[in-house]
Parts: sequence; C-alpha cells; structure tokens
Amino acid sequence: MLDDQEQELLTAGVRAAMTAHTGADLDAALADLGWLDLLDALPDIACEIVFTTQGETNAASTALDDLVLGALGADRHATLVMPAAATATPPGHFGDTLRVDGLASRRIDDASQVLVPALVDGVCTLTSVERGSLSVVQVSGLDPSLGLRRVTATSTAATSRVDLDVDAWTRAVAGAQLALAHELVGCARKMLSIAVDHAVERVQFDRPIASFQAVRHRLAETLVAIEGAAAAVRSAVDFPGSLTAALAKAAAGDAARTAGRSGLQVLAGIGFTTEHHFHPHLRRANVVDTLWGSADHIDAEIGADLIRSRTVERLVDL
Amino acid sequence: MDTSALRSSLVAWLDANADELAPGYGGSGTLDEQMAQLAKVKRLLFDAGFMQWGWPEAVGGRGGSAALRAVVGEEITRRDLVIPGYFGMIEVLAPTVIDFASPEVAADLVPKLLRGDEQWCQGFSEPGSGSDLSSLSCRARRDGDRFVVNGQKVWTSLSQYSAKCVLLTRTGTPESRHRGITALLVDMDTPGITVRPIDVISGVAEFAEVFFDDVIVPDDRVLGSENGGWAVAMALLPYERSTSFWYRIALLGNRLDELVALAPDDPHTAALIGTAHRQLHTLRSRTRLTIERLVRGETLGAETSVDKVLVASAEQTLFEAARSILAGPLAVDDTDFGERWRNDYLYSRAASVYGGTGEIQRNIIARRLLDLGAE
Repeated sequence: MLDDQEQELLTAGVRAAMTAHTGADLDAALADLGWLDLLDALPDIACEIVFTTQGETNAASTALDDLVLGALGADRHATLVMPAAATATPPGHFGDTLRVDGLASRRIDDASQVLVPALVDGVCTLTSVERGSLSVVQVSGLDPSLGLRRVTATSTAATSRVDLDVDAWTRAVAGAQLALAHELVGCARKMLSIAVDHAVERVQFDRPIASFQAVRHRLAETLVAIEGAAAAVRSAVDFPGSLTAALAKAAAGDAARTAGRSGLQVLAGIGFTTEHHFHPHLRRANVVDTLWGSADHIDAEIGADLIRSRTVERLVDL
Repeated sequence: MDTSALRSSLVAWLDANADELAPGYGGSGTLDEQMAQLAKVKRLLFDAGFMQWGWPEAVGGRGGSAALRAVVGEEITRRDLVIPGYFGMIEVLAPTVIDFASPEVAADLVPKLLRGDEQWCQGFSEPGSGSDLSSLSCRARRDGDRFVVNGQKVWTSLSQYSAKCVLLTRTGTPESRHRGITALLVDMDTPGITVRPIDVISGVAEFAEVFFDDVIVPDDRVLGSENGGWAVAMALLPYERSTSFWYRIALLGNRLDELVALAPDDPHTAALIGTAHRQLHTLRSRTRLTIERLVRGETLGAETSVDKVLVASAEQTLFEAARSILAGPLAVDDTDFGERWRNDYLYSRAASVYGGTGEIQRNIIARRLLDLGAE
C-alpha cells in the first residue's frame, strides 16, 4: 500500500507528466514514473491515479493497452486491437477466415505483429496477425486528440493463436471499463469546474450568472451525477466483477455526458468556439463513453440480461 | 459483532420464525394493520436481541456501529415484513432523544421505541413553513417551569398512532428565524392536541395535521437548549440520509425484483429496466459510502444533499419504468396488484418533495458544495 503522502506525490507526478506531455512523450514519461511496475503491484491505485488524471488533463496515453494486455496475459509491450466503437465484444471473428473490425492506439503504426482478440465458435482467442494484412486508418472522429486507428480486415490469416481462459476476456473488459470509468469521472469533474469558474466570472444583468437559480441547479445536477458515478466506481473497486465494472462505466459515461451538456449550456456562446478550452473535454467525454460499451448500450444489455434471468443480484453490501 | 455475522444470524432467525413474523393480512393491508405489524415485528426482533444492535448500551442497546441497524432494517424490508418508511422513523427519533434529552429521559424512553411499545412522530412542517422551515410559527410560550404551545403542524407522519412528538416550536420573536426555535418532546395524550389524518393521492393516510391548543409541556421536556431547536432539527439529517436510505433502497430493490420478474423481453423494456437498475446501484453505492462515513464518526453535512437527490431520482426512475411497463394495470385494474403499483407510483412523486425538496437540495449543493456564492 501507499500512504497518503506517497499517493499524493505519485498523483502530482502523473499530473505533471500529463500536463506537459501527450502521445509517445507521455508514454515515455509514464514509464519513467514506473507505471508498469505500479500496475502490477497496486493495480487499483495505479489505475485510479493514471486514468482519473488522464480524464482531468485530456492527455492521451496508451496506458489502456498496457492494462488490457496484462489482463489477457500478454506481453504489455505488444500491440492490441480493441473492440469497435460502442461495443465490448472481441474485434475479431473467425469464420472460414479471420474478420477484424476494431480500434487501436498509435502503437500499431510501428508494429509488425498485432494481437487481435478473436472469437472462434464462442471461445475467445488471442490471435496474432501480420500488421501488413490489416487495413489501418487513422481517424479524427469526434476527438482527434485520441489518435485512434480504425483497424479492419475482411479476410486475413493468423500467424498464431492461443485460446484464452474463459474468464480472461471478461476480466479484460471489466478492467478496461473500470479504467475508462475513472477517466470519465476525471473528465466530468474538469468540465464541471470549467463551467463553475465561468458561471462565477461571467456577468450579465449586472450579476454573475452563478446567481441565477436555473444555472445553479444545472450545475448542482451535474455534481450529483458525478458523485453518484464516483461511488459506482468505488463499488467496482471494492466488489470487483464484470457487472460492477460495467455499471461504473455506464454511470460515469452518463455523468460525463451530463457534464458536457450542462457545461456547454452554461458556457453558452464562448463554449461553442474552438478558442475556449472546453470543447476538447466535451469531445473526449463523448468518445470515451462509446469505447468498450456506452452507457446506453450497457443499460440496455444489463436490462435484457435481468429480464432473461428474472433475478437481480445485490452487488454492494455493508 | 460485524455486519456479516449479524446478517447471517438474523437471516437464520428470520427464516426460522417466518410464520410468526408474517403479516396476518393479505395484500398491502390497512394502515391500522400495517402499524400493528410494525409493532409486532419490532417486538419479536427486540425479544430475540436483534433490535438493540447499533444502539448505545445506555439506552438499552447492545452497542456496535449504526451499520448493524442498517442490516436489520434491510433484511426485514427485503422480506416485506415492514414498511421501511415507518420502521426507519426510529433512525431519526431515537438519535434525537439520545443526543438531546437528559440521560435519564433517554434511558427511560428509547427502549419503548426499540421494542415497538410506542410509535413517535416528528412535528416540523407547518402550513406556512414547508421548504422555509426556519420561519415556523407554532408558538411555545414559557410560563414558569412549563411551556404553553399553540399552533399547527402538518405532514406529521403517523402522529395519529404516536405516543410522543418531537416538536419544533417558536420561542423567540418571529424574526429570530432559526435562532428562536425550541424542540420539545411532547406527550401526544396531553389535552389540547387534535390530530386529523390527511387523505393523499397515494391512498394511505399516513400523514396528518396536528393542532395544538394551549398544550402544556413541562420544561424538562426541552430537547437540547431553549432556543437551540435548530441544532436538534439539523442533527437528524445524517441518520435520515444514511441508515434510513438503506431501508428505502431495500424496498426499491424489492420493487425492481418484481418488475424484472414480469417485464416483457423487448429492447424498450430492457433499456428502462437497465437504467432503473443502474440508478439504484449507483444510489446503493453512494449510501454505502455515506454509512461508512457515519460509522467512522465523520461529520455528515451538505454533501448528504447529493444522496437525497440520488434517492429521489432513483425512486422516480424506477416507478416511471413501472408506469410504462405496467401501463394497463396501473391505469385501469382495480385489483390489489393494480392498486399497489398505482399507489407506489403516486407515492414516488413525493420522493422529491418530502425531507427537503429537490430544489432546496440543489440550492444547498450550489451554495455549499460548488461555492457558487449567493443567489
């Protein structure tokens, strides 16, 4: 365990790295801070600090690759294809040949071999393919700063493949969802703080707009959503499992979208410009919500599972 | 005693005594029947030694943390043995007396509450003082070693069944606001008290108006200090918004179970159920952390307004889902089934009104948690 002071120091180090760097430089800075060792030794704390701070600073690292590769039992320095937007299913499917539709980080640019989680008759495998056999296109999308690559192949061959443990993919999904839930909470807090600062400083009708109840209640509602999400994230840490992680991701996605909507409304005209520093967070919130399953998808999927099983488990206890 | 040990021994006892604990009526029962059931369950829990966990030994309890009480309330609610809103009143009434009455009075009275011998009520709201509680005007005039009370209270839950009332009165000038309020522990059989139950849209007349006409209260029944009643009123919020919420969450969990058991398997319904489930899980996650803070002895303050908004939103999302999924029965079935969902749906609309409206909570969050300055 880290004591409070050590945790503060580490957080400050990560924040400094994420404020100064993004992309490859940030990955190098995280490596210098001992991120991979920390992820092995204290995964919960490492994950919380790195991803929450990433959400607050809007930096883009490939820490998620490290985390998912670890959960799949693969080399953390390998290159991974992740699920397509708005899904949490393996990006590869074996029929007669291997079809791939997923997303990757910029790591894929320099790789010669790429790992694709791929389904074979319902079993998840980790399949290695030649980078050259895949179509890799850098996408701007809603958040260009993420540097995502769309990875597709309609028919490709595997170099090698290993069957994963039954639980490995489930654990990887839960790990990714929890990490992104941290990121969304950090991102939502940042958007709320920008909106609060603006509301206090912006004067109309000779008074700060923060004095108007309509503005106050919108911001209060946002804090409620964020604190609820933060509690759901805590539950996912204290009661680990695929359901608590998915619920944390959905609650955090919902909170981040709420923060984006209300922040933009409170900022009004200035928030609509690219001169203001709000829009990168709004973009990040919306894209991260869709990665590894959006709030809407998770709600619908869990709802359908509950109806099919006709039972509701209490996931959190005193 | 820790929560899991208590839970397992309690569950075993509840299973072994299920027949005796079960309500003697079918369906929801009348309010009279529900109150008799509440007293019976408390008595059985007390005699078996469960009701005393989490309360100080000085008032007949067995000690341990407030989380133990949360477990007891949750388990009996899960079995639909009591209405958690009625059972949970003990969470706000007993701490008030323990913290603000003399040790002798507390030791004498709290066991009656725990054992189910007595029901008590809380006289706070008035016709002219709803959200603006500190404007209350029910007057208590000092007359030697006693007070003479005149005025009216409203929304006084279960006062028609109550032996005692924690009553907020105006003892200062009308302008004294929260500085001129005194809390009194009033015997409800004192001459001059009239209780009139209020018919409400959700069917069950659990609320009442209470009229005070020259009601004499001895001054040893002051809770806290004279003109110090505001502190008494504020002190109960941490309990109302931790252990009491835990019971409410258990009830909402029961209703979600029922909804899931009969919901049609289609995408629209799945989305409604999924969102209701997520909000309830989020609320439960938050309340767990709040109870942990209470148990650690932290001071709970304005941040519990977040909990209050979450509980109201989760309840209303759940019953809006029920209204959609059970649209037919809710609208036109005169069966017990239709009646109960209809009443629960209507009652859920009060969740953002009672205990401080959603608007008041958002005002507090904006001012105290977001530092947005004055309106």
